[in-house]
Amino acid sequence: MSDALLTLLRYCFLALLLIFLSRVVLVVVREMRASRPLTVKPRPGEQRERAPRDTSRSRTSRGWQLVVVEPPDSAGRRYLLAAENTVGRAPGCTIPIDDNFISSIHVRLFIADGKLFAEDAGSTNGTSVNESLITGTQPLSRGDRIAIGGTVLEVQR
Amino acid sequence: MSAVRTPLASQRRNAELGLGVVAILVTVGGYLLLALSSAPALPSDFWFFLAFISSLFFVAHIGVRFLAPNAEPTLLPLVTMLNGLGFVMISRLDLVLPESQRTARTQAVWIAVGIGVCCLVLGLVRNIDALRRYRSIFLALGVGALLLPLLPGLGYEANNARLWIHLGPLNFQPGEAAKVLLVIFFAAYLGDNRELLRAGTRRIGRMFLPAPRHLGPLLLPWAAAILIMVQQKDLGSSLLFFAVFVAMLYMATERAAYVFIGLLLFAAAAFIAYLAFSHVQLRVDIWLDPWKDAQNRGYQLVQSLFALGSGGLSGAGLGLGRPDLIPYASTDFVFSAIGEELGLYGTVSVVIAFLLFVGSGFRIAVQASRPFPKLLAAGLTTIIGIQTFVIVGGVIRLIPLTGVTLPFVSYGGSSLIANFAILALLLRVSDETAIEAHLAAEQAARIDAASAASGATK
Repeated sequence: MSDALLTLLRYCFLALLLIFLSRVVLVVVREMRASRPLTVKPRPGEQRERAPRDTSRSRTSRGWQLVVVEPPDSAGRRYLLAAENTVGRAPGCTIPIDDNFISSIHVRLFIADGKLFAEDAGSTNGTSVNESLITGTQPLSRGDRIAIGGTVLEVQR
Repeated sequence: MSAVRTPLASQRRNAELGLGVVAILVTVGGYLLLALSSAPALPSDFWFFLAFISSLFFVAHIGVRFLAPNAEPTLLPLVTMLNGLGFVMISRLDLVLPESQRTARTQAVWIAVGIGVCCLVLGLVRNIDALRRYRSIFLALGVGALLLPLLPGLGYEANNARLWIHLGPLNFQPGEAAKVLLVIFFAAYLGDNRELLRAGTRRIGRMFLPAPRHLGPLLLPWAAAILIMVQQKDLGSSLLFFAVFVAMLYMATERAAYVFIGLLLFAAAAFIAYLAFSHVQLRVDIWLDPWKDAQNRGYQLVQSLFALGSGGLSGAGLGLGRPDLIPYASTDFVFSAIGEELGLYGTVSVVIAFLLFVGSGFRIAVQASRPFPKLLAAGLTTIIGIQTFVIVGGVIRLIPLTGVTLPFVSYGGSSLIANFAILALLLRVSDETAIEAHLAAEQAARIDAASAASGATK
């Protein structure tokens, strides 16, 4: 094996390394282009998707409802309220919400004479309605915002 | 159970196959060069091992096709290339060693076991969230693995560090597995409690810290792990573990304060370690001036620097240098051995390959939608990235040298197996993300079609 040929082959090998790496870069670029529409994000389209289904439901019931405003992950989720409801982290609540700052049973919501009331169920971090902490039984009206932990719920009818 | 295939699957797997073939060409090319430049000294089973190593990529590729068909396509070829390059270097170092000290054969077996572990992990972990539920078990296994070498009878000390255990004829470094197990635990714990850790309720000066109740489960195993590793004099692993922990805490909480606290703690710990341990002082002294005692304590580092220097830009050529003069050339100093024979081009290629691996790992983490897989992918990628930095920085005298392996390249079974498990988990996360994104897109399309139809009837 002549030295000149061996030297040539050595450079070929280094070139091969570069060819491999540049081909990987090409695949990475293609991956990044392809993955852009694939990422799962809460897009405006997702809220549009829920709107028709939920309005049809509210049209038939005409009852009190809660709509999640915060966090963005579950924004737009809608709960129909019965005469007696519990909101909390425990799975047994009528409205279970997975939020570390919400107590197991955080707040009680009940309907009396067609009016909606909120009553804190001894939660650790308290319940606010329209940014003021509630004590005792608090009457609620349409558009009120209930903040518990990191979650904000809007009252709708 | 058959794996879900999205339309992306065939494109990704074909890209992986194409890249993998080029990666094998790199291995074969290196082997051929070695054969050409040292023809008379070739061992008889040389060609058999070449075929064996090359075929392993196809085994892994077929495994991924069946078990995680939508996984990211660049990770496996990058690993194949690094692995192949490392194997060529180990075979090259074997040429000047007596038969009894040769390691290429063992390395080939370990690579095969590693690929087997990769497929096994892909087969067992069909759903990444399953790992989250067993986080306490991973914590116990991780700390247990770290403690194993301290057991009398089982563990033993080599190169001044008590890291090894005997299992019959096999020697194993359980700390390598512990890294992966503990990162799984941290990802699960941080994923479940990141809100609590982010907000903080206890005020210290101008800072808010989480209650000890929430921070405790995180800090205790971490402090225990660091103490065990310091006790075993495994400086490289303690450094790696510390950095990965701080990085994961930052990624989970998005609070830069943790990084500053981490850096302060690191500076304090490093200073105390420097004052308290003679072996730490020794490492720092060698780092500051390896030439002071070049024939004795600075010998390793000086030889490594000579190797890199004599390699120059394009290297001496495979089989034409003297990388065997560097102590531990096939493990800790494999990067310098590559630098001597393939030059700056070779070492930069290795660094770029690691950069691309880390980039792909973080891309997988960014695309994952739930906290646990996100943190897991990011944490595992950080292990590979920081470990590479610690050892490459060490052998080029950028930072004090601490002995860890160069992932996928160095000789060593424990490290190979742990790294292949990391590869499998990254592939699993990316496979799941691709399936989720596909299902979400399908559902969105269905709902759009349904709402369009109902709009038409109104």
